[in-house]
Amino acid sequence: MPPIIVKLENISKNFGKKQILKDINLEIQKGEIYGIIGMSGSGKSTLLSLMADLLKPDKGRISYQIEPNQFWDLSEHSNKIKKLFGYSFQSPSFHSMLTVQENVEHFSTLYDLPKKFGKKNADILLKLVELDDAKNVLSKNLSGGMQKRLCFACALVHSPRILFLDEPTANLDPVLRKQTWEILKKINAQGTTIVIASQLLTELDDFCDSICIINKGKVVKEGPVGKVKKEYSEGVEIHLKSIPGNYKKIISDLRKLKTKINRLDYGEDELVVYAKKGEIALHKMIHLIEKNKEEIVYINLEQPPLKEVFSSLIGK
Amino acid sequence: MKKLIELIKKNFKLLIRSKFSALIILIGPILIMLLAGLAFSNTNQYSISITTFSEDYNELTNSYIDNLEENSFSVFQSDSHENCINSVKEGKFHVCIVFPKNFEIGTSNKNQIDFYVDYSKINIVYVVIESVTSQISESTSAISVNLTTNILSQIESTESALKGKGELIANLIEKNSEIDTSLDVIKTELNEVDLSYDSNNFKITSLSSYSSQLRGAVSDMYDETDDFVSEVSDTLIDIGADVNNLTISPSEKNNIINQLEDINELLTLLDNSTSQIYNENQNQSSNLVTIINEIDDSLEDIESQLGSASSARTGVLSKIATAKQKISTSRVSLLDLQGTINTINQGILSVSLRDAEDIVNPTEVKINPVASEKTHLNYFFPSLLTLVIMFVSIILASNLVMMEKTSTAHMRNHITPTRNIIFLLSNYFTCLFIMLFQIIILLVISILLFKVSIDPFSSQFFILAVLALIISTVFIFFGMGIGYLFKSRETSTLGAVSFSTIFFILSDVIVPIESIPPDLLFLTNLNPFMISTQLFRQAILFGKDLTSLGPNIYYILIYLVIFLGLTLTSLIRFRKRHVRDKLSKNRKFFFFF
Repeated sequence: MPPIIVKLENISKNFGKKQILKDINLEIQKGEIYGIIGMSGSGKSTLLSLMADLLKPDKGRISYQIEPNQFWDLSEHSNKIKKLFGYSFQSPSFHSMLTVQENVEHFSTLYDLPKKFGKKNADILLKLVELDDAKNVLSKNLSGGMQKRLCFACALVHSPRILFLDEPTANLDPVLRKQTWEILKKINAQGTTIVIASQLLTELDDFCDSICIINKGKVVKEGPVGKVKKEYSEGVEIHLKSIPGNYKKIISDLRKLKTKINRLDYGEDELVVYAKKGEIALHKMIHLIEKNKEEIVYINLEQPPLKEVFSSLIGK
Repeated sequence: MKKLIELIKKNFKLLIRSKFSALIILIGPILIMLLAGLAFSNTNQYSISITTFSEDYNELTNSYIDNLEENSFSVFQSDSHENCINSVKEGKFHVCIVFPKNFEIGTSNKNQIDFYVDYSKINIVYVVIESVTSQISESTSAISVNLTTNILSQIESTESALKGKGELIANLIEKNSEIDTSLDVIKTELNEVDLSYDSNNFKITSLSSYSSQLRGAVSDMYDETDDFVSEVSDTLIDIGADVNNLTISPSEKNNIINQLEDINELLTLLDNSTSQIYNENQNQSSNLVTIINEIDDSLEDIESQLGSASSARTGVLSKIATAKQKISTSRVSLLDLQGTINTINQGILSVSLRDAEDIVNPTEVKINPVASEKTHLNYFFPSLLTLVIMFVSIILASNLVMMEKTSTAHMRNHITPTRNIIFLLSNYFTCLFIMLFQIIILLVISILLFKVSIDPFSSQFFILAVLALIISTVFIFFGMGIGYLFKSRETSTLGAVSFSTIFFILSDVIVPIESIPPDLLFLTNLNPFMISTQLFRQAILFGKDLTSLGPNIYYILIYLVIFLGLTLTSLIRFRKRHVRDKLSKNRKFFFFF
C-alpha cells in the first residue's frame, strides 16, 4: 500500500456561526487520484483550502509526509509544506496582463526556483499542458480551456508532490474536459498525487482511485472507488449496444416482463439499464434481443456509477 | 530578495501594459510642473480689476481713483450702485468701490467708502482687500498728512499764544495777590481808622465856656486895665502934681515929669493897646464863638460824616470782604487757568512729534522676506511637491494594493511560500520607484525650465531627497492601508481621494489655517500634509539641514511607523478574511466599506 502523504485528523471549520466541516478524518495516499465529492456548499472547496493552508482549521490537525514516517504539521511548517503542493483554483488564478511564459516564470520565482531552472521548467511545463505555442500570448487573451491549462502549469512550476484541483473541468465542454483529464493523467503518471474536488461524478468515477463523499460538512464515506461502490450500491449497470438498436421495444418488453429496473437510459448508441437484480435483468434482456432479432454489438455489466452511490448515501 | 525584485518587476509590467497608466505616470508630473511653472513662475502682483461708483465724482473721489490707476489697478466706472455690485457677483471685477455723495474732507458728512468683495473667492479675496485698501489708505494718508499739518500749525500758534497768555495770567495772579494784600491792608487800615466820635472830646462846650470865660476875662482884664490905667493916670497926675512939690532939681523934675509923661504915654498906649486888644479880643471872641459854633457845627457835620464814614467803612469792609472773596475766587480761577494753560503747554510740549508725515505714519513697515525674493513658484513649490507626493502616493498605493487584491492571481499568491511582508514591500517599492521617478521629473523641469532655487549639487538637494523619501513612504503606507481596508476598487479610490482632500483642506494652501477655530487647529498641526509641507519649506526655502528641522521630522517619522503598522494590520486581517470571503456562500461584510 502506498504511503500516506496527507493526513487530516478531526478537522473542523466554522464560518461565523455556520459550521462548514465537522470532525473530518482523511488519509490520502501517495500517487493516487483522490476525489472529494459533495453537493454545492458541502465544504469541498473549504476542505481543499484547509489542506492548502488558505484557511486555518478551528480544530484538528493537517500533516504532510516530508520524509518517510515523518509528518510535519501544516500550521507549524507552512512555508516548507507549501513547496510540496500545487493548487489549481476553480477560477483563473494567474496574472492576466502577463504572458503565459511570464506567469510561469513569475510563480517559479515565488517558489524560490533559480531563474535558469525556472525558464527551462517553464518550457517543459508549457509543453506538457500544450501551451508552448501560446507562451507569448497575454493570459487574458487565452480561451477558457487554455486558461485552465495555464492554471495547471502555474500549479506545477515547482514540481509538487501533490496537486489540488478545485473543479478543474467546470464550465468546460466535453472535448476540453477530455483534454484536461488526459493532462491530469499524464501528471499523475509522473507520480504527482492529485486531489480533486468536483461535482462531476462521472469524471471522478472514471478517473479517481479513492473518493471522499462529504455531506453537510461531514465525511459520509471515504475509500477506494470500487469498494465504496460495492459497499453502497445494489445491482449492476447493463450496457447494451445492438443493431438495429430498437431500444424502445426492448424497454417496453422488459416492463411487460415486470422486470425491476431502477433506472434506464438510452440513446442512439446504447441502452443502459440499472437493475438491482442485474443477472435476472441481463437474462431477460438477452432473451428479448434474440426475440427482436437484434444483433448484439456488446453487452457489459458494470458496477453502478458513482452518482448512484452518491444519491443513495446522500438520500440516506 | 529575488522574490521582491520579481514582484516589483511584475508590478511594473502590469502598470506599463496599461497604456493609460504608463502615460499618466510619465506625463502626469510633466504636465503638473509645466502648468504650475508657466502659471506661477513670475513675481507679478495680482492683476486686480476694480469698478467704482459715485453719485458725483468730485476732485477728492478722482484723486483716489487716480492713485489706484497709478498703481496698476484696472479701474472702471460703473453706471449704478447695483451694477457695480452685480459685476463683482458675476466675477467681472474683483471689487466694487462706492464713494459717498459730497465726498469732502472737513464737512459734517460721514465720508464712508464702501467696498464690495466676493468672499467665496477665498484664495484671493484677502489679497484683493489688502491691496485695494492699502492704496485707499495711501490716499487717505496723504489727506491725513495735510490735515495733520494744519492741526500742527494751529498747535504751534496756540503754543505761542498760550505762552504769552501764560505770562499775562502770571501777572494777573501776581496782581491778584497784590490786590488781595492791598485789600488786606486797606481793611486793616480801615479797621484801624478810628471813626469813633465823642463830641465831648472836642470840649466845645468847654471851649465855648473857655471862650466866654476868656472874653469875660479879657473884658474884665480890659476893665481892670482900664481902671488901672485910669488909676495910674490919676496917680501920675497926682504924681505930677506932687512932683512940683518935690524938692528936686528942675531937671530932675523935668526928668520925672518927662518920665511921668512917658509913662502916661505908655499908659495911653497901653490903654489904646488894651482897648485895641479888647476890641480885637471881642472881635476874636466873637469870631472864636462863631468859629466855635462853626466848629461845633462842623463837628456835628464831622460826627455825622464820621457816622457815615463808619457806615461806609462797614460797607467798604463788607465790599472788601466780597472783593477778597471774588479775588480769591478769581485767583483760584486764574490758578486753575494757569494750571490748565500749563497743562496745555506741557501737553503741547510733550508732543515731541511735530512732523505730519511721522504722525500719520508713525511706524515704517518694511516687509523683509525671510528667504531671498523669488517667483511665486518658488514659494509654492514645497506645497506643490507635497501635494503631488501625497495624491500620487496615496492613490497609486491604494490602487496597486487593489490591483493585487482583485487580481486573479491573488489566491495563488496566498499558496506560494512567500511571506506577506514581501508582497507588502513589493507594492511599497513599486510605488516608491514611481514616486521618485515623478519627483525627479518634477525637479528637473522646475530647476531647468523654471529656475526653482534648488542646487542639485548641494547638501540641500540631499536633504530634499531624504525628505522626499520619508514623506513618500509615509503616504505610500497610508495609501496601502486604505487599499487593504477597503473592499472594492471604487470605495478604495474614493477613500484615497477623500483622505487626500481632507489633508489638503486642513492645510494652509487654500485658506490660512489661522482662520480655523482654535479647537480644530490642533488637527492641522497633526496633519501629515502640513508637516510635510513645513519640512520641505524649511529645506528648500530656508536651507535648513536635517538636524535643525525641528520636531516635525520626528512627527513624520512617527506617522511612518503608525501607517506601516496600520498597513501590516490591515494586510493580516485582509489575508485572514479574503479566502473565507471567497469561499463563504453567505458573505458578510466585516468592514463597513
